[in-house]
Amino acid sequence: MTACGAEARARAGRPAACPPGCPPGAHAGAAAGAALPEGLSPDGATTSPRGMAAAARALRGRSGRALCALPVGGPAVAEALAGGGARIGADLSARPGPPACPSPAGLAALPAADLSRGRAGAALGACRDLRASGEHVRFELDGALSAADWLMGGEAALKALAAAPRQTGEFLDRLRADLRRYAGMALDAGAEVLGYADPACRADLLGPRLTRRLTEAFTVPLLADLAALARGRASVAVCPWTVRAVEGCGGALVPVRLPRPMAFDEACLWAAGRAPVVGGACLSEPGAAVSSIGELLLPARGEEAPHA
Amino acid sequence: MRTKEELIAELGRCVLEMEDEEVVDVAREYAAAGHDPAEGVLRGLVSGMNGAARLYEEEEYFVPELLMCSSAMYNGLEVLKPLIPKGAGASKGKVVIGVVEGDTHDIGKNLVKVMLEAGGYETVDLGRDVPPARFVDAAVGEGAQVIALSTLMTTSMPNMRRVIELLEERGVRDRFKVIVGGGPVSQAYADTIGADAYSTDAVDAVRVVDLLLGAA
Repeated sequence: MTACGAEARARAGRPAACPPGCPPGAHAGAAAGAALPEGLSPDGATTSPRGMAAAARALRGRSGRALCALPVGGPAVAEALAGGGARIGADLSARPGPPACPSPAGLAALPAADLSRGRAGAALGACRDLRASGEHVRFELDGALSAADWLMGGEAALKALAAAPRQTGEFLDRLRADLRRYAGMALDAGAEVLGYADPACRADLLGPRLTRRLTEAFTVPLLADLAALARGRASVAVCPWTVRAVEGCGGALVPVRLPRPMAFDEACLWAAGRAPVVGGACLSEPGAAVSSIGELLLPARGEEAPHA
Repeated sequence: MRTKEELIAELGRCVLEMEDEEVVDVAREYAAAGHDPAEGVLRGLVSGMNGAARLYEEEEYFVPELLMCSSAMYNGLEVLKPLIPKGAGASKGKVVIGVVEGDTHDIGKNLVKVMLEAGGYETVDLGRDVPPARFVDAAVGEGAQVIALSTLMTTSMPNMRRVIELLEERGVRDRFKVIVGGGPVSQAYADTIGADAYSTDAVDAVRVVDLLLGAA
């Protein structure tokens, strides 16, 4: 899911000041089930390793992209966190049933996630299958607001993140640890690019204060974790809203010249092993032609502030 | 003991400052004193919500604040609304509202509903993932003047067009104004499908419906 595409995208609608690289038309709806190969249902494309791999391969082939994208990482982690109690819909955009965690206290009390089973394990299996057949894989992850949305519902998630910083802080620490662990598993399964986007980075939705708090408490530490995992073997591609939020906390996007103009997803693949965190275009526009890619330098962190 | 005017001001402040528990106490105190509940709603709760809308337009408040203000308003309404005699207080019109079939994202729709109610409209909320025929049936059955359609998904946008087609097929298109909104929706799309209006956001929706119904 792109940062434009989460539940919070149902913003009241003030004109979005999209950051550079974020096309105004990039919205939700790029469902994993869209444009599937014949005989493959949306549910099949987002639950079984074979279905996920087939959908990703078909989409890559049809568009001539360099990477097969596996978009299920974020919801898979949320499902694992809820112990199977947060079944995400086949389009990966929303939870169809009642919330697994109706309150912030429920978020903080979630049990340990088993990321090797369920949809989380299936996505890893799809990644291994794709890599074994010579494909390059972008394994997508989502962050704080997407996960809270899937677990609580959009309104409750926004209220909790805004008004219950202590309880959601404990949840964010848990989520960060699980995402770090899961990203490591994805890299071990052969992913060469990790995609990261989350509406928690959208100041036009959340406002500058909440965005900054979440960026400092969650996004920057998580990206530092992912960068450490990716260093020397992969890249972490982040969406333009993430870049803007990190820049607002002292980070910087430094252009890195490519050997030749290429599609953005090919550039992310080129950056694998060269630049740990990259940005510059929307993750839902992997075919965008670029002549350079931005390396996102994260702000230096001191002691992590308590969630208060 | 606080005066009526003080309590009305407190109701508005509680909404504006997102005090979703305190507002219940204030509303109970207001009701227990025997003050006019409709006045408490309109000059207190609704006024507070309109203040939140102004702060949203000034980019002081954002979506989370609007949601929390609306929670406070609804908590206050739960106390005061049952005390209002049926038929008291004229509504500016009735709006059938929902998220079209294929989409379950309803934050935007809920905010539009809150702002319409704060703006004096009666709403019939059909929820999310609503089949096109249900919009038409509800609008006809409820005697609504406006149908408000929301979606966040490009994949479900065609169902907005389908609602309008159904209104035409049933020969009732001219009885309703159709307003559309949501992340991927635009004025151009509204024009393409023959909607009467497009709204950029929840606050704007009230202005647009006022214009459509000549209630501005």
